[in-house]
Amino acid sequence: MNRRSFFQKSLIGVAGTASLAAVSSSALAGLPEVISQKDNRTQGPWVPPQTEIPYQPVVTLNGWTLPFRLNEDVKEFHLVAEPVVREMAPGFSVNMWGYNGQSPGPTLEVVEGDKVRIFVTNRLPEPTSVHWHGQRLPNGMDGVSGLNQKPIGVGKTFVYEFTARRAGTFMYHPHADETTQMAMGMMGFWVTHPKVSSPLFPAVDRDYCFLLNAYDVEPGSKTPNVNTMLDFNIWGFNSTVYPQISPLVAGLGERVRIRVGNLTMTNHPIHLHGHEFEVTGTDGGPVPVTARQPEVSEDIAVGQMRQIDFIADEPGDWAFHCHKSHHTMGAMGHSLSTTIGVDHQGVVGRIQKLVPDYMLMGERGMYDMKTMEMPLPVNTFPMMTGTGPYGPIGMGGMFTVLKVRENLKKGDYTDPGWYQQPPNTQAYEWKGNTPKVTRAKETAPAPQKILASVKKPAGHQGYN
Amino acid sequence: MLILFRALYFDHFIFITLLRSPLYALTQPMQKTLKLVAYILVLALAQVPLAYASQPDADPQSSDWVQANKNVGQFLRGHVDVLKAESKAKASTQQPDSQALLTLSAKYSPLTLTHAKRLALESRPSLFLVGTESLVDRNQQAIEVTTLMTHVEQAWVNAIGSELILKFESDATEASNIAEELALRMGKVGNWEASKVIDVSLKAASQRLKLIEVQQQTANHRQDLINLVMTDSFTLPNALPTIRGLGARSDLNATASELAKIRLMRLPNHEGQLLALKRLETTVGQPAIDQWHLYASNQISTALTNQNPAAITIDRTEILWQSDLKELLHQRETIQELEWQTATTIAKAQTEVKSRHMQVTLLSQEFVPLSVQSEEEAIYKYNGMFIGTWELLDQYRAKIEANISLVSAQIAYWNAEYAYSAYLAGTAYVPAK
Repeated sequence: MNRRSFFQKSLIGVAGTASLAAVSSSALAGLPEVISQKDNRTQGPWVPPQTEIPYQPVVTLNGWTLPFRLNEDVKEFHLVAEPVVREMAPGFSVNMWGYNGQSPGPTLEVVEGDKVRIFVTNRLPEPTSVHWHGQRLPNGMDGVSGLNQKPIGVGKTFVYEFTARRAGTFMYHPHADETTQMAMGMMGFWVTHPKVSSPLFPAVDRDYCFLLNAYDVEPGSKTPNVNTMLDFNIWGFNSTVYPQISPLVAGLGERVRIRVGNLTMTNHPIHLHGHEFEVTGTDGGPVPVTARQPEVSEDIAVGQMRQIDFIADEPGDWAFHCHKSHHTMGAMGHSLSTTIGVDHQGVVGRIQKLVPDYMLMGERGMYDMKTMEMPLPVNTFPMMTGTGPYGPIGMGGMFTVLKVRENLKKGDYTDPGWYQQPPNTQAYEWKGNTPKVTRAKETAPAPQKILASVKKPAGHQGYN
Repeated sequence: MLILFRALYFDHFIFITLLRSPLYALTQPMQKTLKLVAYILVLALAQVPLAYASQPDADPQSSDWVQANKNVGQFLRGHVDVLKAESKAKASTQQPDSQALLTLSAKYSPLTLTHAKRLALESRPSLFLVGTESLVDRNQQAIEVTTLMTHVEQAWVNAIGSELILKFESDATEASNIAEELALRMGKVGNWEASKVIDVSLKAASQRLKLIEVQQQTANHRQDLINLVMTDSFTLPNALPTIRGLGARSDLNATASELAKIRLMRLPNHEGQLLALKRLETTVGQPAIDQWHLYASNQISTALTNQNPAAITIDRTEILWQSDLKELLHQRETIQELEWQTATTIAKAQTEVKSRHMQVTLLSQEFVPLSVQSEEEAIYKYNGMFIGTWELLDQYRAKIEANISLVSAQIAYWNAEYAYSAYLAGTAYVPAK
């Protein structure tokens, strides 16, 4: 059953969520139906049917929110841990482990004080468990296999029950063979909205969330190398790479919230162009209003979550990316030699005689790679790609665009296209003369050149 | 003289380049080691093949960083503009193709196997002397002709095969030289440190040494063929003969003993030996032969039941008075040995042909296609900047190695095939090398 048919069934067969238990008590005694997602498109915000919600529901970039079943006063979810194939970019699909058809798994969205019951079915070939990262909960529900619970065996279903005591931004991930399972993509987002908005949790017009991911997928292969500890080559927002990552859309003057969780093995300085934001929430909860300060980059460490708020008051297309520049690129050889400045005259034709498809590149930098369209190993995406209205953008990893537009309807998340630059507001080429460069005159005599030398021991004198 | 000058010039250049490089700052023992490496390079370069000598004399690489950037920046469209500049430079230094000139002037171009056989036979009219009625002489003469033809076949195949290998090794050397050229430029502009450059240079020097060896082998094989056909006015085909499947070959499925009988009948004296044996058997008579066999059998049993089986003692007190019997036993033994020797040699030759054929099949149907595929993958990886030019050229050399293995296997197959056929026709057996 997909999400659309779930909604259809909900609308047709059920008059209201409150009456669900009365109508079908035997059904509620069983497992909630498994709702699965088939592709990586960003789904709109999920609003529980016939329910007043005191919050702006989140939109998960290239992800979705898992609908719950209300069983008396408990919100019930059903997560299925299973092998999935995730399309991270067109022509680049990765064999992963995830939840409910995709990796990352669906976002779970509740309200502070909600009682939740999560059924977790294991369709993986090995035991698993789920740790509810950052939650206040009974010790036996924390999900560390062996420490807090028995692992969820192959084919088994476990039930986690707790109250979402604290509002904020959370994640979930396995705590059984977690190095392997997280390297294979098992993770998901969790948002607990406050019961009421307050200066600590101001209401927003748009609430986005996504996880940061890193994988090591050898070019031409499909399955991540789970033994890689640091040298990853695929960097994504919610297991998607630019230009496949959806844009963040905002109406001019709207208050926007972006929640980011980092389940990679390194930190990510996330940078927003054209706006200042405030970090309004961390792993531990809301940041006191007096402790907030304007930022344009926020470094998110391993295992951390950050919630940033800002007013989208500058119209345009604004880059939003990890500031580790290699994280905004696709896979490339990490032991490749730098050939910048190396004149290839006299050898290019000779190489082509031996290897006819050879093309010179890299000697003037890698800008050419943005435009080159040469055959790559199967199931690989280019190191730098994507084209904007003014030429190649040449990104390929943790990069997307914040699109701020006037007259954008509330709740409209569709891509408005490229921003039309108003006249005389864009960088332009200087057509006049370029003056000669005059260097400062030397005022002091040139320092004497000192040759560094190392004195090596000449014999064994003094050594016994 | 020109080659010597070029070699000395390059020797000096490389040595001075190394001394002027950051190596100069190294310690004395390390400098000595590196000087030794430099001299090895010099020695290798002294034997520089034409491919290396054809590199442009002007060094385009600048060690000045700003100038280096300016140099590469002048080619705004990169690859396309560099190629354009190269073809412009090439047009001004175009030289006549020596191979094309040779092809034009050669009398036999290419020299087919039939040509080669005809030339070899025409050069040896004595093989066609008439005037003998002796079957033995005629058989002997036939074997001599077959032997000559086999030598021609093997020399022809070896000459073609070694030319093909030389071509491949030349390409591999060109790839190594390009890798070295780029490595030197990387070192000069400051992108690589000295030992990385030296590693590539050593690999290139080693490949150049290999090429010299192959050049020598190729020249020797050509001389062997010239010696047989008695002309040097020829070029060789650019491929070895096609190798067909062995499925329809009844001779390879026949038993060795059957084929041995046929071969033995082609030997000049064999029929006479059999007749002589028949006569002796009649003279001696079967009872005497049987009696002797019984006696010999008992002797062998006694010897083998001795307490020390390693020290077999044969009772030689029984005097064999009948000289015909003695002669008969000798002749029978000689013929039997010949029959078994022939059958085992045929079996070995059959195995050799089949095994070489299997190697060719494996190399042509699996190994070479895989190496081609691997090179294609390397290109894709190069395009995606997963590997660099040096790794790409290494992959190209790996493909060349696979092709050399195939040609070597094809040469070995044809040598085995010719040796086997000739042996069945009565010549001595010369196994493939």
